[in-house]
Amino acid sequence: MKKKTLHISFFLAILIGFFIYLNKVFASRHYYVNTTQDYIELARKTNVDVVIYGSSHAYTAFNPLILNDVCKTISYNLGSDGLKMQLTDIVLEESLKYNTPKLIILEIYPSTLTSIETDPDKGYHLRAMDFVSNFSEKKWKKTKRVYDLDEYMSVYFPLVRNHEEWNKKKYFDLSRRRYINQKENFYYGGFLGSKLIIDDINLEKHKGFSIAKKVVDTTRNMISDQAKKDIESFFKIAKTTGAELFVVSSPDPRAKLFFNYDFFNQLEAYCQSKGVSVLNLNDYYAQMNLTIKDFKDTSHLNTFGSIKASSFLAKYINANFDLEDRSNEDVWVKEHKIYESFRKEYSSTFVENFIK
Amino acid sequence: MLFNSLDFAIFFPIFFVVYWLVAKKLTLRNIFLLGSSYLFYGWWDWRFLFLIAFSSVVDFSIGKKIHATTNEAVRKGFLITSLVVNLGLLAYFKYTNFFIDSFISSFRLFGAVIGDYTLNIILPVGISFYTFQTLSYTLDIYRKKIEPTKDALSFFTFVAFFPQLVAGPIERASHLLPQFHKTYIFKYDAVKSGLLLIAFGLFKKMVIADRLAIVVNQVYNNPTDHGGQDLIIATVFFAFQIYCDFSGYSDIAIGLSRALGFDLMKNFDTPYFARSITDFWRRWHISLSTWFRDYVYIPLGGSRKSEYRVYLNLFIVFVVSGLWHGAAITFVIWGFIHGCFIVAEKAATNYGLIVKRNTVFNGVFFTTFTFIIVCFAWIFFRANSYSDSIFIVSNLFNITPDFKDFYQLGLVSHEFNLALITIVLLLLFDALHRRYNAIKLLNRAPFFLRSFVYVSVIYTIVVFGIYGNDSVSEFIYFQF
Repeated sequence: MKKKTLHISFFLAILIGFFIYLNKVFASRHYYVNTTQDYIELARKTNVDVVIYGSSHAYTAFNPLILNDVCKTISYNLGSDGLKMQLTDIVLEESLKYNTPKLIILEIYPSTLTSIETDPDKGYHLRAMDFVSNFSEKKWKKTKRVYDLDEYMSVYFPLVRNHEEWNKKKYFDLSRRRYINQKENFYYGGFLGSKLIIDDINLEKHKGFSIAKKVVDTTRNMISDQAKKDIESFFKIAKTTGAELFVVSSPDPRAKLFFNYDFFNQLEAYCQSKGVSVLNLNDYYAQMNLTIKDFKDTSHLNTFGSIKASSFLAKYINANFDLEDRSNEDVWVKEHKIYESFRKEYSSTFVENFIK
Repeated sequence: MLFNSLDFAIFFPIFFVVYWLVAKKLTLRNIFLLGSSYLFYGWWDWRFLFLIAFSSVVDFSIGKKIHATTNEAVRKGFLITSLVVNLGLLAYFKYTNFFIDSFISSFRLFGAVIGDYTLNIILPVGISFYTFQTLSYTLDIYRKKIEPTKDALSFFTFVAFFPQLVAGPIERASHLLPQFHKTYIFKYDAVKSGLLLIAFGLFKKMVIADRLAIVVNQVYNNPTDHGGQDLIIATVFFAFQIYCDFSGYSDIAIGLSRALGFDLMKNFDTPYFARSITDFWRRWHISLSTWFRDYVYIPLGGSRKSEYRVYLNLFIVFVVSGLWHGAAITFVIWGFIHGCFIVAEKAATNYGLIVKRNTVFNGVFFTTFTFIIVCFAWIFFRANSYSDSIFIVSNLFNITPDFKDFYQLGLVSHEFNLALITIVLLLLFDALHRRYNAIKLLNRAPFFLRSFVYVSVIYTIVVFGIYGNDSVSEFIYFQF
């Protein structure tokens, strides 16, 4: 009996050992792994006072280097591809395990509040789901809500999800980080900027984005009850930390041209009813000096545009929130060195003049 | 419920634990086993549970009545009732449209103008298997080989026993039914060996069969788009697909049963190492070929009749076997081809044209020759229609000059190469298994090596298996 127990224990041990190893081998490699791992690393070194949550809209618009510089704080961008409100609260909850922010910024635009239905949507959300521990009760609840029963194994185990890529995997390299070409992109603290400029066809189509007359249809309910519950869930978790909180909508060239602009009014009204302020950057194109060439596509800012948006946001934070000056800390000084090189790299354009 | 589905992966562990908790109480265990088997079957379509229950009631009652009377005419009457009910159900669900189509086609041959007419009938999964299993019960009682059971619960469980309910092995009541009359104790070694067999079965199904199926489906669903080389590749792949698919299912069925304390008969014995078609049928779907031997061939007179009558008997058995597999002319042709070769081999033996097949050269030659015949017959088995099968056969050697890349047959290069590797590994394993019994060899290996093999098999399935993205596929033999 003792021998059998020993045998079974040994067998289970190597079974589990292999399982852990193969899950690491088959783990998805994408930039959000860099984001989350860097976040944890930074949070281990120091407290991250300002954390931004949201989708790719968030991580392409707000550069923590600029926030750090202007606000003399330590900030981070935890935006994840296509992340909708449905799952943003579990990203917040997971991130709070490592850090207690002083200011939480939630980025919302119309797509954020739609529900996760398509396969690509579900796929994008696995990036955020991978960040959340498999032992999280909320992850289980969200999985049940968003995914089908036959997808559960894929949600929880990259080995099951990515097994078809067996020929592409590096079996002795367990790093999940993705190589980011810093010549074409700029990555720092979860921010991922691009040097791309919107293509000619879309440039032509959206060139009047800043001066267009808003389409406002007040008869339509733009925020569903479920979306309100999801936002409330995020607010509730954020408030437990004692942090200050506000909602931001990053610039989108479709906002006035194609969206029902009443969405932003309804969002503001709802958030204010919950005691949370809203900053809609689509109301400040002129103040940010934003042009259509500051976008990399029809919905995301490029690095140049992000400098303008980040700078505006930083000034808004300075004006409205009282954050501790961290500029005398070694960590801040060390991180700020990256800012210097960033500024140097982008100084040839209008950037330099705009920031100062 | 499919053995290779998440549903079953959830169902079985729960079932297994509860089963062993109630294993010592016979009635309770059989109630649980029957309920679980009905749940397993009803997961697919609960309405057809009534059909299994009906079939069970009919054969249980008729079995008792046949046994109770000594009047030969009455006994025969009851047997005929059982045959009519069971084969009637099978005929209705499986062959109605085939007969309607054949009827219409024959009238059209004589110039009659008749429109197409098809009834919307769903074929209940596994009906051919459990019908034959229950039939063997009444037939054996009629032939006084067994006595009817008084225990209805055991009989119902015997008919619906989920490991082999939908695709066999087709068990005889004399072998399986008594096993429901006794309790079992948990045997570590039996469970271990059963689980290993399940893993091997899943490996064959998910890693080999389902991978080969991608090429086979692409080519056989559009044969006119492909040259001879593609058709040959797809046919050879189908030979291994159906072998791994069906023997994989049998392995899982036997493994599950073993883990529960039951013993099911062997269904495959390295069939592609057969050196004649007769030999092939001793190794392929053994439970069906012996069923046909015992309940069709022998009642027809078997080998006791005149030489030509024996040939006819053999021929009938294989044509009927073809029809059992599917209600289409292509299956009949498949049976016909096997029948022809079986008869030819029998005639050759009768006339003393016996070639030693156990020398190395002859062995390789006859094994290859047999494999080619089997593959040729598989064309008719797999083709979607009679016209497709004729096209494939007539274009088999039409090797096109614009030699199409094999890597464009649905599997990218690394997947295609893996498919070839798995076929080679399978043949090596079969060769080893035939000579040494791989499972016993493995059980004698040191514990560390054994554990490594178990873990490797499991993760080979997880990594190289075809699953996810709605690609959980049914076992081919479910349709029969």
